[in-house]
Amino acid sequence: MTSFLKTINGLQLFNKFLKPSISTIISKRDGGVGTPKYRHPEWLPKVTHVKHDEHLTQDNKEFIEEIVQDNYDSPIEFGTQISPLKIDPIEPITKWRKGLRRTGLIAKKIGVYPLWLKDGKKVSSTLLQIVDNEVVKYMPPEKFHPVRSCKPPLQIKRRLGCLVVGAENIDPQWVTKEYYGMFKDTGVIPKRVLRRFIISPEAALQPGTPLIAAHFKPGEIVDIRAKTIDRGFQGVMKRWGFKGMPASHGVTKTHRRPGNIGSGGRKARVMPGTKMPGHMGNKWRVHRGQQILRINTKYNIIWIKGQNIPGEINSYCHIYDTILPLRRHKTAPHFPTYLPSITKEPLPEELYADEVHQFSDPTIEFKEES
Amino acid sequence: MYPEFLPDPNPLYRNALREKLERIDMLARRTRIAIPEFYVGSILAVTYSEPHAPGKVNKFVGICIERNGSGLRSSFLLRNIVDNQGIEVCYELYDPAIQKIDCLRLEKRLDSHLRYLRDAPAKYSTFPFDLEPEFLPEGASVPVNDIKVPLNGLPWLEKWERQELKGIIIKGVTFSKKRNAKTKISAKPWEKYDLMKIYRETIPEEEQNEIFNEVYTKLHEIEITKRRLKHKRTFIRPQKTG
Amino acid sequence: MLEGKPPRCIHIYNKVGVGYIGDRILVAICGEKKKGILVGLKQVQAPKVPKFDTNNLVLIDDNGTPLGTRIQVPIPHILRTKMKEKTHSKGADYTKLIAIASRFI
Repeated sequence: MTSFLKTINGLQLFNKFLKPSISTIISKRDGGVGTPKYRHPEWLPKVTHVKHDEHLTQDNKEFIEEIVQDNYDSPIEFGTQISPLKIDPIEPITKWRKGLRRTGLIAKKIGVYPLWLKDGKKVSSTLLQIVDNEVVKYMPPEKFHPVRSCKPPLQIKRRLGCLVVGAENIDPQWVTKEYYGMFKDTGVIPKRVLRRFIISPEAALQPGTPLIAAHFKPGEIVDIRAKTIDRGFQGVMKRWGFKGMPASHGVTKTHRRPGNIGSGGRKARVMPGTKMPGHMGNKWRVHRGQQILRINTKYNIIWIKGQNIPGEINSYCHIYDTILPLRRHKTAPHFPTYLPSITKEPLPEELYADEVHQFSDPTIEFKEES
Repeated sequence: MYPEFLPDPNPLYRNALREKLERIDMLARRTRIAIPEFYVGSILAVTYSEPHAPGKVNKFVGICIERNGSGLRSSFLLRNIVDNQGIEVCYELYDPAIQKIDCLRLEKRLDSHLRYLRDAPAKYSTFPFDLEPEFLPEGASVPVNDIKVPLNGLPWLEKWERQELKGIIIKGVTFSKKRNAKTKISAKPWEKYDLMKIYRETIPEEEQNEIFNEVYTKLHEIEITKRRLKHKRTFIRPQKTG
Repeated sequence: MLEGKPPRCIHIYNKVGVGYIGDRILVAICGEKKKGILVGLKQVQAPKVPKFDTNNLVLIDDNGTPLGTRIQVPIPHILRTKMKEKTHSKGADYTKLIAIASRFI
């Protein structure tokens, strides 16, 4: 299959021999990036089952908890040869070179507070906590079919693999059998939040590898994708930023209305896509080019410059390296991820970007320009 | 004692881990600068590094009118009258460009804010820049200043008669009938019985105690290490060799 | 008749219609139109920038030289950097008003 995907000067030959893939397609009539759907599709497995009181004796409850602890409390040691997994082990050997894509992390937005830079400027920073991130599954490029829109048919020039990462552990006793099936083979504790990260095959990781905040370095630029705050049904002024009408001077009953919605007799109809009141928020959005200011390795927290990360506090987002061409990595990041080893020194608890003033540093003083 | 350590009570913004990290950062800053205890009505002197000034250092003395914000965002407003011009400056407590905060006179007033000083005669807001710090005997409680400030005539910046202020005297001011009628309509006498309102706007006492215990032990440790360093420094003095 | 009235702002030399510290404005004073620079505002300012109880103005001519000889009221420090930035444009020198200021806050 791979021989058919040889590219010469970026062109893909033998494309008509590519197997038509069974991929999920989003229709373009969704109103752009995808309107929020309130009911999950039927094929999506439910995460937790209804908790009935199963009338277990105290002994049985303790026994079950012991089993859960035995199965999940011993983390996979880095560098062990023997893997208890039922799938082929993946060994990350490749060194980073420009053009390779590595995983991202799933983070929980926990708050916003100010940080100061060394020239005295105040900058608000969002704290993102990396909660129990572990790799759940790796899909090699041959088996991975990304979601794509129906037209125009995209020519996939280089096939990339996909890594499924999970965040926030759930007690396995609460999980449905279907959902649990995803974690059965790998031996990873079931996760509440699962996200896909598209990566180059060299960045593949062993399922079960924990991912920590040290995966990123302070000063790196990342993209953050999350669902925006649900603002409900909003009028045209808040939703689209219309200016409305004056509050007085004889204006009758029209202060926050959109005004004209057509162009007169020319088209004699309202154009599709006209900005009108409607549901605002709860949409997937990607904020590109966000800078990392500080990382705490003990609690796994990343400080990101700005307070405009989509989503409410205590909601999840996923972070990955920028695709913006001018802000991509110039020096090697931790590839495929930060793996603490016994030989290397452990990282310090707090890592700061160059411009950030650390609170334990002496007071900022400005020097006289001679 | 240090109200800025308490987080914003709005449940939308509360997260235990973030509050903990914020407190760690605040205490780290306190190892570098001694932020004194002060209340609304105390007179403070702030020395800070100013990039625009030629000497790069600037000092301002004033009476604290209000304290806003929580955590690293906490700030206070200082008011003073300099050369017959009323000036108010807002400073952030944890700004790293601030070199020194001195409490020249520690006292409390009858109200939680002193914004009415803007509508009061000038003598109540004037404080000389070279005011000497007054030290209270150790262990004494914070004195409460019972001053009743007479306000100037109308127009006022805010409707002081509607806010329940104990530190003002409204004398020789007659309000129009319309204003009095509107004051009666907008009055909310039931608010003092509203327990849920108090619950929503404050942090429960158990949490407050937990936070303050944590903070006081750390501050005590910081003081001890400072004293130790002081002693160490005096002993390292080089001796003259005959 | 016109001498007792306080000066009134009639135009702001700014793309935004709001005047901030250091902005040049046109003012009607004593029946004449004069230019001035905003030196103190009642508007709430950023941290460490002082806020005054009155809006203050220093009258200048077209070249930026102040019409008076002394400024008795204190002036914020930020004016120093702001005036230096403005002096580049159109050859007018705005830093002269900093020289006559008696006190900075």
